[in-house]
Amino acid sequence: MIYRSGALLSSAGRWARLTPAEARRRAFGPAYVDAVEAIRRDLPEDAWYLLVPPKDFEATGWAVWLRHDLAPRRPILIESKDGRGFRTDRDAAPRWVRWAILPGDGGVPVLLTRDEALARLRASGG
Amino acid sequence: MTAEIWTGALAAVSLFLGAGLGLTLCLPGFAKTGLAGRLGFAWLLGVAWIGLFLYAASHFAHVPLDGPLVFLAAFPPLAAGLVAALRLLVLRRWRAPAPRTARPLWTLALSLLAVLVSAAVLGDALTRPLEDWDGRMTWTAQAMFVRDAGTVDAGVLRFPKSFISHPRYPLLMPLAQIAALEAAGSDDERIVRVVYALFFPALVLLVLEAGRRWAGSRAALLTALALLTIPWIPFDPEGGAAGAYSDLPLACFFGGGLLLLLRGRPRASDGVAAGLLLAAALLTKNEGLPEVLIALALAALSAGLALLRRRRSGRSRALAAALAGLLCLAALGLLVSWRSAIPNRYDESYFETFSIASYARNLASPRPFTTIPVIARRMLNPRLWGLFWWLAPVLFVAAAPRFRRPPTAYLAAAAAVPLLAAWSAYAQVPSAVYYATVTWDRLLLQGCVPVFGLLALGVRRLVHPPARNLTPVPSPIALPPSGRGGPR
Repeated sequence: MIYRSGALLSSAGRWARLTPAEARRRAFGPAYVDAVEAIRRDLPEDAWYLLVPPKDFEATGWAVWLRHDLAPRRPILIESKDGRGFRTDRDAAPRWVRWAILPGDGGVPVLLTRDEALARLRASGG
Repeated sequence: MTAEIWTGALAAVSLFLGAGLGLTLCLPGFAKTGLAGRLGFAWLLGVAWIGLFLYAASHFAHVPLDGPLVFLAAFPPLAAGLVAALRLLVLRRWRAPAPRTARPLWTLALSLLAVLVSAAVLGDALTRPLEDWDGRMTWTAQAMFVRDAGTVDAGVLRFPKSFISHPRYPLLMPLAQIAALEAAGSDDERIVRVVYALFFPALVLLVLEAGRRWAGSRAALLTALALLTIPWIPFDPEGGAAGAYSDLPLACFFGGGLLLLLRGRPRASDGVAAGLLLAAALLTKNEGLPEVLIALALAALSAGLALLRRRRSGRSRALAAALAGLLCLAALGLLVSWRSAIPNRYDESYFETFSIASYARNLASPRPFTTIPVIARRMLNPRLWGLFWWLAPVLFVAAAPRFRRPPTAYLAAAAAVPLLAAWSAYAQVPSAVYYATVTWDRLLLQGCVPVFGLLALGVRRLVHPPARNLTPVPSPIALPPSGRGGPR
């Protein structure tokens, strides 16, 4: 316990030299953090958005992590139909939601308008 | 790290600790509690009080969740505590310091170890962002949604299409997060991490206090040392003090409430304090409900037995149990009322699929036995639990506390609750091994205060062998009045 406490204190000393933004980039990766920051600037805090996760999102926590990092913006999850594509009908993706977030290259989130996102999903067989 | 995070964390800690210290000064049951025990209870009572106040004010009175409401929650206990402290000063009724006896050097080493481990957890919390799974998925996300809406009845929780994990999980700890951030005037999640980190020293102080009451100073210190050798509790981010899971707060609230209710002759104020802590347990996690029910049942049983035996403590125990029960009933009413408007989704839906018949049928299932290898592997892994589960059974064989001597039986029953919860859960789910992997340590943690209470009783038998142990046992629950291991 003494060794682990010492190691943790020493690690805390290294983290303490970073600004909060630098600490987040180090913890979650610069590409992801930069993308989240950009979305936070573009998407108003009271906005709703459609969240279209990658296939393995439950294992990677992609949607869960993103929801946390974009809160209090409010997500509606567009779920896969048993791996056969996404439900993009009016019931699953309400018309009044103007924005959607999809995974881009390397799982980095991308903000699109609803129509752009749905068109992209339909084109990819969703 | 900037001064801003230091001042923010200090403001958040002062909020809970100040309110809690105020409560311990007002409630006469804490008059004979030492500084260490008082600080531990103060932290728990402060979080419990402020969380309960915000929950009730927001849901029932529709008061906006913001800085003024947090101040309003903290003000009464702070002011009452200040008045009580001044009154004690004026009347010179501060407890005379105990005559100093030379403490062995190892007790100083123990204090240093406790400070070192707590400082490490706190240092990590102050410098790193929140990275654990449930903290980000549920507890901190809920806090952000509720804080933005300004009410626990946030539209995003009630809207059936919104993507919220476990939207019906109780919100006491998210409300504590909101209170901490409002007190700090910040959005920095490292302040939230500090709140969770401080439950570790609170647990150590609680175990120390439980050990002192039931087994004396030396046994208590050795028991606290055993706690400090377990790496999982302070360092694990997925359930320990390094994350934002609600299991450690639940363990503290449940254990603290139980400790107060099992006092030999509890005062009415002990019942109120226990009620606050158990109500907080009920509003911290779903498992809180069965744990609270067992704690109240044990308190009622101890009161009933004392009344049957015409002991003088019977009425005070019954009153304390009744007061605690009333507060828990009110908390349950709040939980049911708050939940009723929230459609369940993104959840395991235990309650929706629950039926007594299938539950009873599954209880006899051999499925939980399949989890034994993973459970044994985790408990005996030195990186998780140190050598605790290697040595504790040896201790219990060598110096088993006498079952008939209270509070042994009560503690054993309370310690078994999380195990029964585990059995019940693992018998119901198809992937029991997976569930055991992700929940077993946390269930053990939830019952750790009664487990350490039992350990203290065992250590007492080692430290004071029965032949020389002449401490009289005046009541079914043997409690030294000073909490120092012997009557004064």
